[in-house]
Amino acid sequence: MTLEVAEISRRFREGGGVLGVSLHASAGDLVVLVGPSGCGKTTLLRLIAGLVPPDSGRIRLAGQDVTHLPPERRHLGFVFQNYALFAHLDVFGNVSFGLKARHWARDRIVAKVAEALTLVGLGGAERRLPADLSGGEQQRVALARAIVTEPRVLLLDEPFSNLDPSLRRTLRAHLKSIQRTVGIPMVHVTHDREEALALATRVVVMDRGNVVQEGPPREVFESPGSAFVARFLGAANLLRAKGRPPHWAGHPLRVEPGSSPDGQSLFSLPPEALRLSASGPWTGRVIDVHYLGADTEVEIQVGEERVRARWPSQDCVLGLEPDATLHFDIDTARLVLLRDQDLPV
Amino acid sequence: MTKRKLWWLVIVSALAAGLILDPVVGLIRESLHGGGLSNYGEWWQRTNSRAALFGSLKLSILTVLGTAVVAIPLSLLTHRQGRVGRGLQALAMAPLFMPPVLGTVCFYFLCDRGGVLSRLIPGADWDFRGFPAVLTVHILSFAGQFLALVQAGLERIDPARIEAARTLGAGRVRCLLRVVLPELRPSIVAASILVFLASMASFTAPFVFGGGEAYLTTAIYESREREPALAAAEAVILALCSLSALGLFARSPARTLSTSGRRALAEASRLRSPRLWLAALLAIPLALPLFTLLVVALKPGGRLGQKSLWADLSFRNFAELASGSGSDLVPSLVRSSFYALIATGLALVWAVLLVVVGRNAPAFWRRLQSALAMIPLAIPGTVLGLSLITTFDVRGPYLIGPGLLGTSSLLVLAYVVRHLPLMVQAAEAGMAKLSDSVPEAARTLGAGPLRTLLRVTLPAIRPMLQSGAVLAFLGAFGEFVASILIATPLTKPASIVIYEDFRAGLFGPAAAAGVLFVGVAVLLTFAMRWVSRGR
Ligand SMILES: Nc1ncnc2c1ncn2[C@@H]1O[C@H](COP(=O)(O)OP(=O)(O)OP(=O)(O)O)[C@@H](O)[C@H]1O
Ligand SMILES: [Mg+2]
Repeated sequence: MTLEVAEISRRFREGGGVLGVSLHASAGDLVVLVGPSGCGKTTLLRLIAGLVPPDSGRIRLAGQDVTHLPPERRHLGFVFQNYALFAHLDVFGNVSFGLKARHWARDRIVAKVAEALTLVGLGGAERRLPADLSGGEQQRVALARAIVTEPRVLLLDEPFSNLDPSLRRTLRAHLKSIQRTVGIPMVHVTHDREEALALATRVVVMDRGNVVQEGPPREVFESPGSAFVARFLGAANLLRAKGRPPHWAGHPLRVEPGSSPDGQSLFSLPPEALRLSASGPWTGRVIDVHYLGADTEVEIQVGEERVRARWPSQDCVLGLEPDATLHFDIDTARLVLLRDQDLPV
Repeated sequence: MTKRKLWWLVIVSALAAGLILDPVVGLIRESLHGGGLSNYGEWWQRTNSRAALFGSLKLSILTVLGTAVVAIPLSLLTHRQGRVGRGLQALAMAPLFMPPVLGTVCFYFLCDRGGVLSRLIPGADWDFRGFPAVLTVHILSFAGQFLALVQAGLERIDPARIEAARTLGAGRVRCLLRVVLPELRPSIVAASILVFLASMASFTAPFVFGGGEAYLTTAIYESREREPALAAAEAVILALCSLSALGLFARSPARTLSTSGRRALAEASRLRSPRLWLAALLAIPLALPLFTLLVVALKPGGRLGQKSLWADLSFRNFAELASGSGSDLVPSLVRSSFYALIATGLALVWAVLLVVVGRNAPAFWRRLQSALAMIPLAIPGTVLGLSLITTFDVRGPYLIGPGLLGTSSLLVLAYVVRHLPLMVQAAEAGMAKLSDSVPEAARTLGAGPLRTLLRVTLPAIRPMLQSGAVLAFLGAFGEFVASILIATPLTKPASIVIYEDFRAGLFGPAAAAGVLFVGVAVLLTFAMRWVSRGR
């Protein structure tokens, strides 16, 4: 089972939309879409679902061209950003809706709905009304409603945004196991970095209707290909270097940069690529220390610049506290020269 | 927009255009008869005509202001005030359940010399005639409608948004001015338009209580026989005034935001709160016509008589109604219910087709459609009746179809056309509340367009359609002005029989029937609400 989106475009008269996006997700793929608000993530999902007709491009599902098929004949699951629950139906009515539309037998429906509700942690809630559910419960009903029909592809528009962390983790694990057992491609929109890292087999970053980078989550987060991606994801450090060879915070970076006319270049550097080293050329002052469990993140002021470093907690020597001075070096192999270096940072 | 949908739209709209525009075109043609455009010049030359135009405009503008001043505070004061608040709302809106012709008769009993008011307020034996009288009748008759719309708007405001404003540091007053009223604006505008149109087209109140003053509707009525072209010109001018009011206000765009979808918790009612006393002060006058009806129904022969208001009360009128002796009242009640039921059903189907099917149509088409559907509001009942008669005398619209004159079908058709705007508005209000993604979700779950319509969209907007249908049914049941022109002795609806009984001094059983009717209507509405709340 695969989902192929080829050069799909939809431009809205009021501005915005999706401009020639291609996407490929095969069984077992969980594609996470990230991007700033209004960049077209929801629109892309709606195009795939057939809720918006495209201006151009093709969509294939399991080898079948579905570009002009109405949504009800595409057999996919969609979890809406605003849940879109049917307010006049109770939880059972909502979850069983797709099964009834497919004319399942009554007793099979009852069993299947109970199973789906248990999966999302709402077992026994069949007779409750959406208006009486909390935001998180509504969201889980929406999820159950989408997966109960065993769709060929699952589209999720920020499905976990209203849940508490532990519930979020549980559902994430569920989603992953569903994906492993059912083996359908999923496209998932989220603003949560941790969620993207935890779930994604591939991350797709969008900006103003275009895909600007895609790849495995670690690669995209830690080696962003552009200043935009680096800034948006916010995981990597951005180093603005000057001169040839490029200097940052007073010391040369010892790399071969592509030449730039005015000798300015912009690099991204993952926080792990900073190394504590008494002989390192850079000296910085600790601004803040964030204990993150296995890792500890340290904010360091280096002259005018500020960088973040991340080290395993057990390596963090005693005395690493605000206002302490430390020396460090940079693993230059992990420096990535960014393409759109003239973007203001 | 698929091709099939486009065809649907074309067919539905053509039907609408045929039934609504054909009479209008006939009217315009009639107004140009003889002198062409100079008919209008001649009309403008007459002082009387200008006075009628300005009289109607003045009356309608003041009616809108008056109803707003009563209804907006009343709805805000009673909103979420528990049982007492709901009771006061019901009291203020109950006259909506009274068929129009009964309303007029009740105002006569209420306000006329020796009427209920002059007995309740000692020494108040005024002459209830002239502009202030008409204005009072208008405000009391239309405030319930205004209230219903504002109330619906209030219910639609997401409580989370008000809570958000409060957490942002807005006090009650600021919240009211900056959040509630702006969110209510579309409802207030809609209510104002509706009341303005109703007031422009109102005939009975100016006719009965107008004294010597001139209004467009009465002027049309007076020149109808001798100068039909002039009457038609006046009708066209009235329709133009109403349409420009529609056009002027209909621009306010409906901005919808998805709501949290959660219910607000009602505040407990505090009986002693001055807020509710103030509300009662506003609500009680609105219920006076209903009170009058009740008193008259309990009086012998349906006459107030000379004695005290509380003397000689009995259920004799009800017994007489039940025995069904002599009068055409009971058969006419059955007939009217039947006509009104069919008319409401047709208007409902038509409105749903227009609004729901037309939802994805291009914006200009949608605007054209809703404008078209609103035209009947701008046409007074008399004019509609007359134009339907000329249209269906020997042919149907577009010169096709059978002549329906003298059949009950024409009566039903008149009711459908008159109440189409109400149903269209109800359907549009329901759809405005419904997020696009809800029917979309149904589609992604495998439901086709028809299943989505029947299982998701219609049930979701059912509360709105229901209340629209109730009002349409009541309006059709009590329709008087067009009926009196169209009906024949065999198809005579209850409203006319009631009016004739009233004129003949035999109002007793009719008043009893009115009380029963209002009672059943109120009970039905509450039952429906109760059922939909239980779901
Ligand atoms: N039906 C529509 N008509 C006109 N413009 C639209 C429509 N749907 C979306 N747009 C526009 O297209 C752009 C992309 O919208 P979209 O909803 O896809 O953003 P998004 O990436 O999902 O944002 P968010 O993260 O806030 O949900 C926006 O500028 C929006 O205004
Ligand atoms: Mg979105």
